[in-house]
Amino acid sequence: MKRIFALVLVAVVGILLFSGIYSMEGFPRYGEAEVSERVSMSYIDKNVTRENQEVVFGVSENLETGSANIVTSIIVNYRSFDTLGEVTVLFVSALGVSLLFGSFEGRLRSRYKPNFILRTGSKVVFPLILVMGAYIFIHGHLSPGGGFPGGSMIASAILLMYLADEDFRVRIDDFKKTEGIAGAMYVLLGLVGLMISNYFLSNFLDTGTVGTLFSAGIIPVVYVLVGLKVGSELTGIITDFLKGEVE
Amino acid sequence: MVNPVLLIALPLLLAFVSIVFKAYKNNLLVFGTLLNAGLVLTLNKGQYIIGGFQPPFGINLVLDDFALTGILIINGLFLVITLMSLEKLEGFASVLLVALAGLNGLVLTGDLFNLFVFLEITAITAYILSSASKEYRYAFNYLVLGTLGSGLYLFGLIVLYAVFGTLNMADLSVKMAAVDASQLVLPSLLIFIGLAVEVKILPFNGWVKGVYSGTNSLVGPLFASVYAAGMLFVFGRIFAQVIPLGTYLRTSLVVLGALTLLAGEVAALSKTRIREILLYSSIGQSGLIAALFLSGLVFVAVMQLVNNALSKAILFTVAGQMADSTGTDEGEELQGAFLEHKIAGVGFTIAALSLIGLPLFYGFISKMNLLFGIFYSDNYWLPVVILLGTVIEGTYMVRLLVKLWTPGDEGIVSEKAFATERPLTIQSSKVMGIVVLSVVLLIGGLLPAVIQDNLTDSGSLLDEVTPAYLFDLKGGQ
Repeated sequence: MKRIFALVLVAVVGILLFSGIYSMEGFPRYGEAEVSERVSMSYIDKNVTRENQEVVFGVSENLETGSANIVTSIIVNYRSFDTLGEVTVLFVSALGVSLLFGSFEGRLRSRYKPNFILRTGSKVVFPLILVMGAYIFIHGHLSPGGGFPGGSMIASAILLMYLADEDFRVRIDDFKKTEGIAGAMYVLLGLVGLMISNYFLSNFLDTGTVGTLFSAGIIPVVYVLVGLKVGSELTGIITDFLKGEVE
Repeated sequence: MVNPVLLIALPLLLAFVSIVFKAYKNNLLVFGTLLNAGLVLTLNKGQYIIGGFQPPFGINLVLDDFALTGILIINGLFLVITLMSLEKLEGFASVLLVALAGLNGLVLTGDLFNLFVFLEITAITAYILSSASKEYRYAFNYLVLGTLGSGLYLFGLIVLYAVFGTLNMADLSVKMAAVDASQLVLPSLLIFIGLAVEVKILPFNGWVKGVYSGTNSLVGPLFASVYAAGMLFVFGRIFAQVIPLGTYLRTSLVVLGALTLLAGEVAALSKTRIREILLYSSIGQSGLIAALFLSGLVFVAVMQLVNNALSKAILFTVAGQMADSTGTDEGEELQGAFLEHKIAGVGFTIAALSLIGLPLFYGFISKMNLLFGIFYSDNYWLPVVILLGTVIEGTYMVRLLVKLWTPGDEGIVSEKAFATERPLTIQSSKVMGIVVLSVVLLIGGLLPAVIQDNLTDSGSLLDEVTPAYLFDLKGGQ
């Protein structure tokens, strides 16, 4: 009975939400939003602080944000403060996990040993995944991806090693230190911006030519820090979750 | 000139550093709270841009009188509460530093998505702190409800962004005011529900009972005064300044707030455990303050908020300490507990009486003003509800005070011999904190001008629903 009631409730709320949204005047239909009337237009044209100019990949120099990836330019430049916040969200979640499992010890084991192909094969794949992860966060301002996906990829390599080798251990203290240092560096970068140009987290470096690896000012620096931080944080969470409960 | 972003950035920096230097994390916490409380006093009002991009394109911090009152209360109380209960820190120092950054961000930000980020940060620290009681079921319950709440807030925000194409509060409030309010019921309601979970408004406050009733002398006052104040300031910012509500929606939400007030007070009346009484009183006060914000009476709402935050900090510290040291907070078991602890007892009494709104204390000034305020706005049913709530509140608070001061049953002359034999200890750090907070309540009651001067502007600024600052859609650095 309770389940039927819950189902009916969910259906009613769903219908209300749908009909509510689609009866709103001004709610744009899919694909019909007028971008020129939104703040996003200026993110695309990179003309928040300067006159509108054509942006040409590989040619335009010293734009207000040198990131060729528009999403990255919003996340790590125009709204970098939000990203610092999201980085903190993951940080404090990992902190909570480690507090919760602080008293737990050992690690989960399955009844059967991983077979030898998994054991050796994963060791071959492990460095490749690491390189891929690092590539993703280093090129975050040029290609899709960035600090969060790159860091997750690094942590997934660690998870693979945990699954493939029951005796695999990481030195968790080193990961914690990396996490703390990378996070502190991000805040310090913001404070340096505050000192140089009077705006917290301002892009105080030369933004270079759009589309080249060494461009976009502090964006690649931030993404490398975020990548290292997310990678070590998720590694910490995985390690904590593999701990066994002490009776 | 000190930039208020330091109030967010410095605790965050210290939190990251505290992971590297684990051994010093408690020292870093004390340093951070002292630093923040000092910085608050040096701030100048104004708009502070982050990243160098003019709003609505970039994110800004808005430090008007409203936000200034908020961060004064939050950083001040955070400092006092942390120093009072340092022995309860356990492993939570880094989490508390993040919480401090998050709460400051909540009150300061001028951007609705940025607010969501800080809402998440603050809520997650609250989930972690609520697990300090080892009652994991309640903490999990809170986690689920809180996450759902932030999800609904985000959903409402997405709808607003889809329609208006901006996330900046000031920009959005201008654009929303130009549209028929009946078109905006859905996103306004979603955002209301999202915040109502944290503000503890009926029927979204199911988590409060389990989480608040097990809190110790550190987490209890933090939740009931600092977190509650932070969330209420956000609520006030959004529903008194940013989102215009239609008449019907506004009235029904005010009714919801008034119902929360009555339900909370009635529930408190039937309880015997001190922390349960206090938690239902907190729900009631939240309902009252939310109703005042929704009625547009920002000035008196802020006054009542300050009164509630100061009083609850004392009440929950004493109640938490009773439970920590004697193993119970059952009123019956703690008869005459204050006979051995007169200073803490007097502080507790001042806080309780100020909460009810008796003369001599700040609560009287705030309650007088809020009743006048509502009468002037030609609302005649809300004062009746508030006075009824006050009578109920007075009944159970005085009943509790009598029990804690005079041991023995009714009709028998009270003697010290009837007092509880449970070993109640209250550390001198707590007694000092309680004295400081009670003195503030007394000063507010006897010389209201001292606190008033800080608040007066905040009312005049926000009583007009127009935003405090406007800007062109295009603009340079």
